[in-house]
Amino acid sequence: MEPVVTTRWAPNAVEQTREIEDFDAVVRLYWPRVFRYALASLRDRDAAESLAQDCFLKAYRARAGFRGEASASTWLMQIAVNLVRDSIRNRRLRFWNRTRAAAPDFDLVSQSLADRGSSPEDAAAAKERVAAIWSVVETLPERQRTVFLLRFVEDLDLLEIAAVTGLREGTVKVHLFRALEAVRKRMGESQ
Amino acid sequence: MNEHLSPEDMSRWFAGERRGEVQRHAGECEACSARLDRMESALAEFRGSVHDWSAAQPAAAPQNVWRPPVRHLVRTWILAAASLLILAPGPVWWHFRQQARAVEIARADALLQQVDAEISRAVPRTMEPLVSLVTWGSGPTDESQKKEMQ
Repeated sequence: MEPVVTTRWAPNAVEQTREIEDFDAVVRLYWPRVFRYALASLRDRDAAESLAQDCFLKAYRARAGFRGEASASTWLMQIAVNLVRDSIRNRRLRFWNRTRAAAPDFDLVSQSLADRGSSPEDAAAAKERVAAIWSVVETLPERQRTVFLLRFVEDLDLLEIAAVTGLREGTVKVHLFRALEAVRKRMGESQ
Repeated sequence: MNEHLSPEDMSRWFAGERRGEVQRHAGECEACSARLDRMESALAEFRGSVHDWSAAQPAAAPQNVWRPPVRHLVRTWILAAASLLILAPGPVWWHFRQQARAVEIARADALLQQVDAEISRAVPRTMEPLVSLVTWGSGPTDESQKKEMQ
């Protein structure tokens, strides 16, 4: 079981700044992460695509101001988190516009587990567990969901989540704890 | 710590709070270790599901959707130039058309005036036979009238 990394994270500013110079490489490297985070947060493919475009366009325009204080990944995720937050707020305001919220293809889950050699029963159980977690994630408050997705989908450690969201490490822990409590309770019910 | 991990301990564990005694117990107690493993594998499955779902989308590959800003700029310039080429002849054509219309109107006016002059009658139609009897402008002058009076 991998422990959650909490060591102070100190990026090399020069290296980070150099990394951003080849912007095409930055896009190739980080696009999947930004798109995935947007997709998981908004559950709308078109909106996620458009958000990823906006994120990299913003980053491209602001790249001159990038001082390498954080990693390129953290910087991009900061932009993505802010864009997702704005997008969710805008959607709430546009109450007449029903968003086409999609959910992951749960058959894909059982299929990929079956491909890894799991039995059909195990695959079906896994599909159920994933669906249960998704149903909780959908209902989490915005910050809890953000922190949960960054931790358990994007695999960021607590300090990185704090840097990306602008929250303190202790606050990140509290949000994560609450989200996990909700997930654990739901999992307890489904098992 | 002899007691099993509480549900809250489990949530704290995954939230990154791993006190020494909890960690020790998790290492020693098979039941608690199994519970932690179950939760961890569920979270891993969730992670895998999101990764697979995202990877299955065409937009997950930047080359399918990402339009670099430089190309944006070039496209903007091309569009601007094309718009200019399409729209610029408009005012020029309009100006020449207006000029041509003015000339046409002037010509039509002149023609109308000419026609008016030609078709206008000096006297009503019934008096026209009399016009031939009268020599307009060669009538008796004041001097001839005086002579006649004398």
